Amino acid sequence: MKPVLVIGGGIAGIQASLDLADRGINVHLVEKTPSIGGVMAQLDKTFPTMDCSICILAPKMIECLRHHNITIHTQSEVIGLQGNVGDFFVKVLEHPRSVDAKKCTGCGLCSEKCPVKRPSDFQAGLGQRKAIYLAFPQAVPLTATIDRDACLWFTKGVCKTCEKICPANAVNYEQIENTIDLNVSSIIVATGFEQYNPKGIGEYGYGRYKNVLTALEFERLVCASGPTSGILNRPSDGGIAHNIAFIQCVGSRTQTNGYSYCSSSCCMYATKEAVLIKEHEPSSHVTIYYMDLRTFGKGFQGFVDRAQSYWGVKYVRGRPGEIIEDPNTKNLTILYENTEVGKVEKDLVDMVILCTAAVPHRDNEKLSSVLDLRLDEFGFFDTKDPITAPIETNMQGIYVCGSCHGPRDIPESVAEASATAAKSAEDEFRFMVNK
Amino acid sequence: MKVAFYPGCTIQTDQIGYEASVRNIMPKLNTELIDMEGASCCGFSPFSSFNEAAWYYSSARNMAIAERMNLPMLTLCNGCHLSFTETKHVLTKDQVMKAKINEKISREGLIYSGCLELIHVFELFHDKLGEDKIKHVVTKPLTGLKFGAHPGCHAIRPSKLIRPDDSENPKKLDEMIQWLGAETMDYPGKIDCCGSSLASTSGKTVMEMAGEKLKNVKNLGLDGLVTTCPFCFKIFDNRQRAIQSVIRDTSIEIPVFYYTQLLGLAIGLKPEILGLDLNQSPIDAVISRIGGL
Amino acid sequence: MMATPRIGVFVCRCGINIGAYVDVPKVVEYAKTLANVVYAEENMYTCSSDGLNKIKEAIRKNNLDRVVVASCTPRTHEPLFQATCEEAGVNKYLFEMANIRDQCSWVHMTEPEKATKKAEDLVRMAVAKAALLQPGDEPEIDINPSTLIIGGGVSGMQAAISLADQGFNVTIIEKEPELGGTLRTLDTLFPNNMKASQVLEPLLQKVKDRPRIKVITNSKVKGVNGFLGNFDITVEGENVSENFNVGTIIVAVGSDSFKPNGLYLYGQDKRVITQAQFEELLKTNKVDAKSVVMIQCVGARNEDHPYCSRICCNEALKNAINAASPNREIYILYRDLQTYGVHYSKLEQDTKRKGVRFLKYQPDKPPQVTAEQNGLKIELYSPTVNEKVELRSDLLVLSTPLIPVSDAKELSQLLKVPLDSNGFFMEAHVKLRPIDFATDGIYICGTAHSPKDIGESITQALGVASRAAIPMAMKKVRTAAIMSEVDQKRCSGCGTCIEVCPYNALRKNDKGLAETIAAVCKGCGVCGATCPEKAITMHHFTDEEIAAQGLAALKEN
Repeated sequence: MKPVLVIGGGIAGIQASLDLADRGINVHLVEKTPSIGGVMAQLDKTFPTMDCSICILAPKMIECLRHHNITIHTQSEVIGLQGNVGDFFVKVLEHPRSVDAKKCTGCGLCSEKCPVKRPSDFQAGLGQRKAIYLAFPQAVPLTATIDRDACLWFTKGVCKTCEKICPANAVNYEQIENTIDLNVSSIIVATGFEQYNPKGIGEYGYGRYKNVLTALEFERLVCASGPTSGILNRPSDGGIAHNIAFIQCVGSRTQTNGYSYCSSSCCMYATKEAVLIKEHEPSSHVTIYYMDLRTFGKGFQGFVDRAQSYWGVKYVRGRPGEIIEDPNTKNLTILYENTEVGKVEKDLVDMVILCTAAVPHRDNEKLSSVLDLRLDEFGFFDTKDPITAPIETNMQGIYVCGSCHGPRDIPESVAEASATAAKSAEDEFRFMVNK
Repeated sequence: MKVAFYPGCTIQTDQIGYEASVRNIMPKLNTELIDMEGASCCGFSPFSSFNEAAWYYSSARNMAIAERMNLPMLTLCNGCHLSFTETKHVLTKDQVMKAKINEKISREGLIYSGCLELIHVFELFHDKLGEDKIKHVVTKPLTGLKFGAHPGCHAIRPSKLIRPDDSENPKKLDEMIQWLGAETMDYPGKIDCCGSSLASTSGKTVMEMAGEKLKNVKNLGLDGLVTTCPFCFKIFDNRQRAIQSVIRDTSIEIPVFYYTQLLGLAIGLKPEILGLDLNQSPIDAVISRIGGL
Repeated sequence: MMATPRIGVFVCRCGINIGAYVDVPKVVEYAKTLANVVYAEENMYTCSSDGLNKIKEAIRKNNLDRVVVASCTPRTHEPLFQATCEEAGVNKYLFEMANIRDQCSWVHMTEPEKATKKAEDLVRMAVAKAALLQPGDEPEIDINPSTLIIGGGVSGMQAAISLADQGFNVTIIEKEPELGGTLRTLDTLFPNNMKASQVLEPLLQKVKDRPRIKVITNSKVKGVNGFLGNFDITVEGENVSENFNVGTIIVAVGSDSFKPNGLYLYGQDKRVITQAQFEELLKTNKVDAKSVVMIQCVGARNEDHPYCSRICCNEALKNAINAASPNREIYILYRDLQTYGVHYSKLEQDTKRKGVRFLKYQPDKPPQVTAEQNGLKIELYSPTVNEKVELRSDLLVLSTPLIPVSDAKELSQLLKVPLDSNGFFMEAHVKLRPIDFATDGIYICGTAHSPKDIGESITQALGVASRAAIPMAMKKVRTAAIMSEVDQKRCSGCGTCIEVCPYNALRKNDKGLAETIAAVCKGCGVCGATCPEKAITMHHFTDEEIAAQGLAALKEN
């Protein structure tokens, strides 16, 4: 039996890998960043159950690590493909961590002593990490990695503090990149998505007004493992934000700056974040400015009903036209039309959260040309048919699951991951039988 | 640098202070203004809302005059600049209209090709002359003064056309003011319209819109408002008294300047030749701080 | 009893989740004072690979034979720590957890001193129990590599095809005379207006072509006994009565459509119809209305059905596009338009381009419909224009939600699986186990789970084909050693335990005494609590162990 290649180590990739591994099929799980986990690892809680996100994800991540049938390749990307279903030849490029994974214990001492700071991707840019760092506390593998563009040794030939201080002697500046050849029977693409950068929508002031954040930045702000340990300190002055607005469809459902489609889960995650704010500060005021309230999933309507009736979250139907900043207080005024009463109104708030569109990952183009996959008009991976073949692609033996082929939430991604595992298993069986 | 000088109607009729300041500072910046013989209205105000052909004709005709002079064309008014830009944009696509217009202006011996370089006031000072040249001529820096820049709509919108500055976060006028030694501050409503296009139909609304802006400037304690557009200046400066009475706030006493007037003062020129006696807003205190009186 | 237990205690900081509110070093020191504790340490994140390695190292170095981890919830982390113990040679049933996060630091954030004391209490209790724990043997069960699929619609067929193509035998039970389910009643499908037959025919053919798939129509499941790997099924139908054994069961029974009797004159005026009826008219080209009005959320997102049925907006758009013509006015009256994602956003834009008009209505001011000679009068308050709007139409189409099938409850009781508050089948975990039931070996897919479109149903069907294949591919499964045991000397044969067991895990043996079916028993403890003779021992939760915990709780520290 040949192994299966899973590209992308977010929740979808993890689930597909576990389904296959649990039934005895070997999996190569290739992940670009230093740790598996994906966006779900960055979330505070998940709707509608309000589970702590990393708490329900981490056991699955550890399961992948410990599973005899799964080989995780982090800091790796697929750079070449040949062959056909049943017999794919894949080239994977592994970028060096400059740390020996077998020796590193993840103690974090190197990171503590490293003198170079950089914005942390995990903290959505709100916090910092060092040039040598651990992706996040529950990272899998829990192995340090050196950002060679930031590291003083690699850029200037000085320092080497981490090597001196590492108790496990795990730092190895001589590591080079490594190419692996894999022979697999099928491929599952689970590379996820990115968030739209709302700098393109000048009227919302993102990037200029300190107290305008994206939803992912807010997740980190409100999360106990975030840069403020979960205290709602607003960026301009550290004061506790009491009056918070969410703006929906930022970069979605638009013909100008952004994309014309709906990003599916923003109405729900805004509600979730609103409830989180109320949990943190029960006296706060939270308003969600929306276009259509999308509560189409299981448990969604009930969740929104409770947010309104129990928690007092306000919903206003109106797409704000502008955010105006008070130059002294850095408070923000939201200018909008309340379409349920037909009046133009102004609301004054401490902080604005932009619920940004889920957009195709910037690497989709590159990967699509390596794998010869079609992309849709937006840049998501295209599927064979939305009804009859929702997780198949134009290439036989290559399947897609999760947000890489369009915005969707976690339960859908998980079900799709299992679906792609089924297709891979069908391919395995067919080729085994035909041998 | 030589430019074909297109002041536009309003400046020649009542904003002559602006023209005075421009004509007197340009020699100090080694810029020669060549008047355009036969130039007329750009067509924006009278025609753009109901007769496109007449509008494009008026604009194209003036551009053809500048083309014949073989010089780039400097406009002072935001509205004029937009008018020419939009006409250029349309006539690049609409060859039929272009031919029609060329047929008409050929009777004057003119031809419009569309290759004219347009220069907006921002582009002249910020992009072409730049920081070094401006700072070089400043002898009386405007130290200690803090202004609000009013770029005006037509200099920054519509964002689909290339405008002299960014539609959501314009910075050029601010920087031009800073190069004179003063500070600037972003104030709420900085990119809002002055309202002048509504002047003939909803006079009260204009006063309220402009009043909102002046209030914001006042609340932040800024020393004045600076603009480059004669329409905007007319509203904020000439009509400030009327604004006060419409919004019932006589405490709104905001000095309003043309940028070229401030530049002239910073160069060390006398207020009289900068048309400052024609400003109706209370500018004396600011001028004395520059040491101009 | 064995030699004196050697207990190791690991107290987790969980970053700041616990560490910021509970004095973890103090708890560690306290643990060291407890009887039988020979080792105690703190970890930043016990569940990280570093933390797990520390546990294994400590077990080896200190010869530990019992492990207590004071950290978060066993719901997510117990299997992880148990497996870690096994890797270091300690039987997983000699592991105990104290939840000092959910049950302590998270709920007592404002009282750190008391929280610390409580954490010490919880650790003391866990240690007291750990001292009495016994190793457990997990029974291995054989898995019959065959599946029963209840429901032969799109989901059932797709799951069957995939499982057959993975080498497993499948039996589909369908209560109607033919396979196909709801798909049979549809004409066109959104988002791309595909013909339903284009989906149905290939599926029917694929089912026919696969000898591994057996189809029994006109029948229902009447009896289910057993457990993962070994379900005894009884099926009955008109001319059918069969018994067979399967390893896994998939529920794919679909859903019904709500009939809006009495709403908006439905049932009273024949010009008021449902979307399904409208689609039928469109199919047979019988729509001659000059004006059509559709009302969304009829009987949905209200007290009767407090959920959104996901597909009704898109179904309405599809039908509106198909009905659109230059001589026809179409209005869609909606509350929130559920055109989510890439495909449905495009569907919305296409519908608008066809000239279909949308008017929002508020739930507390629903449209008022009056029947008149020349048509229906529909009045509604439109918040967008802040005015009352009056529409006249020849046809009023009502979009209603999907509802659970009428025999869902019966089936749920047969399978001993739960329904949610809306009557749809309830999965093990909404986020991470959406198509598993909590009961091992039984899975859920399609609209029986919740309203969804065909593509989503097919995805879930493929998903359960993977989930069900896991135990079947492995051929054997180990089940937990946490189970009941009936003392044959004390049992009086009253049979009460058998009646109360929610999993059918107890049966009478040939001596007429109760005995546990080890593989099915979930260790819930209901039998143990019920037995009047106190003849039942709950392994891993014995009376002694629980008493020890209770007494430890009452001790002062």
